Amino acid sequence: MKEKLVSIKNLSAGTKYKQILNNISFDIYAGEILCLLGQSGSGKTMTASAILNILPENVEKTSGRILYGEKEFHSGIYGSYISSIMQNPAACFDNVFTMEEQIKDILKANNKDYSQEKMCNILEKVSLTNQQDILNSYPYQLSGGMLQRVMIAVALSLESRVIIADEPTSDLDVLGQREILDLILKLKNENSAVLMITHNLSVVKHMADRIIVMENGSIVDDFNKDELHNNKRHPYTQKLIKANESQYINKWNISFGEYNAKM
Amino acid sequence: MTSFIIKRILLIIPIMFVVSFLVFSVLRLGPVDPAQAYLLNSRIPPTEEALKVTRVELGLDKPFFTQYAIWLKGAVTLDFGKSYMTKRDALGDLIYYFPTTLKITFLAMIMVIIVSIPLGILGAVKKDSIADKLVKLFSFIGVSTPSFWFGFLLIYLFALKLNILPPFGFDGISSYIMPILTLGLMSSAINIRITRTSFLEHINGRSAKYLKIHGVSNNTIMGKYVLKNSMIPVVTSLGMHFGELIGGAVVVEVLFALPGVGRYVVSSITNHDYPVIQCFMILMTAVFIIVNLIIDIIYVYLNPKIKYGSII
Repeated sequence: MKEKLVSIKNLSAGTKYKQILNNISFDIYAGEILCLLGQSGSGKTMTASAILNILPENVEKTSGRILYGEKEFHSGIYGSYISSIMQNPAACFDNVFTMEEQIKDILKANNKDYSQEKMCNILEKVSLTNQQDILNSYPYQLSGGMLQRVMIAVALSLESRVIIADEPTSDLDVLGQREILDLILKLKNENSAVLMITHNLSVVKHMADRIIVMENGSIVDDFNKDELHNNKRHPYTQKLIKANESQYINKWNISFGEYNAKM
Repeated sequence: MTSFIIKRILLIIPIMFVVSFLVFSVLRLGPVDPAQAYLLNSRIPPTEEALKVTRVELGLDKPFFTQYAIWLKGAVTLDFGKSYMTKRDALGDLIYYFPTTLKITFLAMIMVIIVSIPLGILGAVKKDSIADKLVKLFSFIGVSTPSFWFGFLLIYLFALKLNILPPFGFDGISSYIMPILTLGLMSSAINIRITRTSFLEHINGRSAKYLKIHGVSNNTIMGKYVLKNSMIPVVTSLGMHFGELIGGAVVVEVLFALPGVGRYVVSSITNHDYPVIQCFMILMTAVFIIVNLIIDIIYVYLNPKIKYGSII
């Protein structure tokens, strides 16, 4: 039986004027990649923000519980429990501090070894070369792909059981996307759970074990990957699949089938 | 960093040269004949003969560029000529009055820093609380209160009613309190707003959220990351406020009858005392450049993007 790591129960959130998340419930299990799929504005990132307790200023959680195992997940239980790989990595690191200072503060806060050697080792794990140069660099001196790798390295070094990856490949070229996705698969293989947020069906097909489809802040479909083309799928899911298969959308996505064939 | 400072110091030379030329030219564009002003200040009737002699004496009979070259040669050796009014060395006169003005300006600047930064941070950290509302109210009042009127209020309250501070003139350290408060009020109020807005922007920034997600304490996020980032626009603003404070010092010196350079220069302008005005402008430019150099050095420390290029 799979180990349940996180349970989201009846989660709702919204602003004073608008409900953004409606009664969201799902579980995240160890060793699985759960993809949250949906159009922009469907509430995927808001769900992740609610789990991480980083909702925007004007948005409040109105009801629901977030459990880590059997323990209620309050603000402050971070780092070693849940780690995040956020979209737009250039904005996630502070440009006036070196990478070393930022990684060191994260490791220190989680009582991990923050020696120079350890930090170089964790960067090596995500195939980053010239680790010392990277540590001495400021974030704006590194590429988006390098910063995404650093985020994954941080998640690995904290040994977080749950990783929330919000559009981790959105700013990367095809090769960069492939490398980051492979690293995320590595996280899964270390028996962590990955909650991946994406609107890219090709990525979902390649990565997901389970898929949750969101529309207008509600979950409309929840199924295993092999049930993706099942006729019983929710009409919205079918619409998404159809749209993704059209040429216009597909030219922006990676087709892993084609990619693998060329390799 | 060293090369940055050296470059900035070397840049002072052309800036001073351009400023000196502009000041010299603009003064001579005026309708008043300096020789006439000189004679009137000396209480000598400005007859044709007297004007002719004075022009030769002051070197005003020479072509414009020759006059400028002679003046510049003297200025390089810190000889800015003699005041038409006092007949004393212009630089010597200004050096006599300058410390009071600089003291008021720098003390007002210190007041701006120690009032605006903590209050701005308090307002941001306690957003929408009573403390924040009080900070916003203070800032609103400060921005909309004219300095001279605030000065009068202070004199009325602390000198006339409570009799705890001297109303005019220089009578020990207590004489500085009201001028500094008058001078620093508006800049403090503006800087509170800048600090508050900047701090709020970075508290809610993605990098602060990333650190929070990964368990970094609120104290480290606020005291280290948010503070350093939010100080970048504040430092820029402080640099600009320095010019405002020096300009405002003139009003404050008149209001509190302080023996500062402001009053002396205002009377020099009224009397067309060119050597003093020229010397004052050069001195002010030098002070302004030095203060901005310090601000730029702090800025480089705060924002590494300025000193480093990309390694990609």
